[in-house]
Amino acid sequence: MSDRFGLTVFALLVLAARALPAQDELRVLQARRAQLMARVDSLALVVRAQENAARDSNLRIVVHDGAAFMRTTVALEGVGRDALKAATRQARLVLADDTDSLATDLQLSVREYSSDYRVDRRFLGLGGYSLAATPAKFAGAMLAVRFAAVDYSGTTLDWPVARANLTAGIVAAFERAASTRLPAALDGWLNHRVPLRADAAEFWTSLYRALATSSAAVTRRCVGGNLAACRLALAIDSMPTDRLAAWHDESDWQGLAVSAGDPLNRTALYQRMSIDEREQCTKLAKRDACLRMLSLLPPDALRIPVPEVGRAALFHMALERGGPGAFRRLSAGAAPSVAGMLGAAAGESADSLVSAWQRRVMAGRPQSPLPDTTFFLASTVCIVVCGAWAARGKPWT
Amino acid sequence: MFRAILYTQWKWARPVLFLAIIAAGWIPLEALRSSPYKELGTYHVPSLYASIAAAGSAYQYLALAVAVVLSISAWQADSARQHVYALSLPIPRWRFVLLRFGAGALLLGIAATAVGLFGGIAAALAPLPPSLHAYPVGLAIRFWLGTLIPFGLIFALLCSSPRRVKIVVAAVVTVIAVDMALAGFGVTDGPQLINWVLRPLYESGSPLTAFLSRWMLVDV
Repeated sequence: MSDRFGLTVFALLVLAARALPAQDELRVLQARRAQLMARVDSLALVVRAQENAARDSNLRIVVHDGAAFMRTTVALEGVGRDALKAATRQARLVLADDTDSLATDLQLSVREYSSDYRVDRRFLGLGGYSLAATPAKFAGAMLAVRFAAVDYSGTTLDWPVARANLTAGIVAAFERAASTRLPAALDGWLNHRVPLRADAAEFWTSLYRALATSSAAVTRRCVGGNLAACRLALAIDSMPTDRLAAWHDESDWQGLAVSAGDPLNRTALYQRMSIDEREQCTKLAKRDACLRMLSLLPPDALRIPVPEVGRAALFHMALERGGPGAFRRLSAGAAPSVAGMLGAAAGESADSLVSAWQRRVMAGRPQSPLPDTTFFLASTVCIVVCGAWAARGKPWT
Repeated sequence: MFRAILYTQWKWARPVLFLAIIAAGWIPLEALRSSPYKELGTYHVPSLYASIAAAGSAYQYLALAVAVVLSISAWQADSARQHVYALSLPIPRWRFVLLRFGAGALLLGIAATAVGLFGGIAAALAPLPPSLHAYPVGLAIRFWLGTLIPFGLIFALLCSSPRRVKIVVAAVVTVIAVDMALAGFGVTDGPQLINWVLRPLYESGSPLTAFLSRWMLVDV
């Protein structure tokens, strides 16, 4: 027995002695592998850098407007210069002197890209298609944006590049860059974008329509003339603890229970309630079932009732009323709430600012229910022309 | 003379007009009754607005259908009898055509009045939220002007010489066929000519303006 035990120990020792160098070998191989992997990674970086350099090699032109600059290709120099100028002018209206300090950190480049292949449309009708090689032609342009060493998602533009589209892309870059200067509360409230674009002619009418037909009762009360409801709907003081009670009334519940929340929220809700239970609310409009459905959604499933464009309009108004230095006061962010910050920027009380915004929204209500002049004139001209044409007709010939 | 022409056109178009009046009563009723999430005394406002917007499209289809049928019926009998009756009348041809046009416009006015009347009654009975208001008169005017445009176009086309109608139809068919063929064989990137013709029609101030705006019985 003892001999057998001794032999076993001996055999194990022999095996261990043989395994030790093998383990060392393994360690060496692993180290070598790690070195090679690092080398592969570094080579991939080099390749990517060289690819970027090759791609950027045609970005020889740099257009300037004040501190703002943009690298472009020869083909896009003219439109790039005009667009940068227009965008900077637009940014300056809101950001004033801060435009230049933002522009120095903003790296813009616009280049065209070509497509060597296109869909061969001859086979579209046969239920399939193939890619046909074509002579290289410009298919579009890409505006790349980098701010403070962070790459932002670029903008793709149709070819030929329209000045207005490129201007909008550059303004959007300024909007995202400027949002980094705002206090966190205000930045979140504005959805990480400082609105710089001018409102379209129909903006206030569209906003009035959106608010008057909103799914939140508080918003509808706001456009009905209730100032306190506007403050609540804009969520400029603080987020209410019970958003459902603060923003919605019972007539909103059923619709909210069907649509509130993102797909993840909805999936979680469906897992926790059976179809029958949900139909008690969605089909039979049972109050308790709707309340239960809504209570299963996370609080942030109920968004700020005034849409982002409405909040942006209030922000714009605060800067307009505040005049020069308003954006700087805003970015100083001394006040604890969004209302305080906007009030400080506008140089007046938040109540007075919101009241001005409310009046502007209410003035956007469509004035006459009758067809507008264009409708009336276009229809009348068409009818008269048709009548005159008919009067000259000779169907019997 | 106008009364006689109006009466004959009324006789030809009567069944269609009755159907249009029934539809004019049914559309607002359906829009206000079947709006989703409607409780007894209240509406879910966004759903109601969406339902009314959908009814606006239904009004446009109704306008188009009534206008097409009325314009065709205005010339169908004359065309079948080789225009003998029309030519035997002791009035100039252009006056006769304008009387027909006027009679058609008046009959379309009956459909428009029904749209306004039934829309007004339905909206008055519905418990509309304070932020929304009913505009039956505005809708009736839109409907009337909207029907007059396709009515005028088809009326004028049917009133032209058959040769001219054939030329117009052949030209349109040829343009569409050639454009589709060029796009199909990959010569052009999609139907260019059709887009070139249609694009101005979708801009403000075109004859289609009436159909591009929203026909809302209930709006803000």
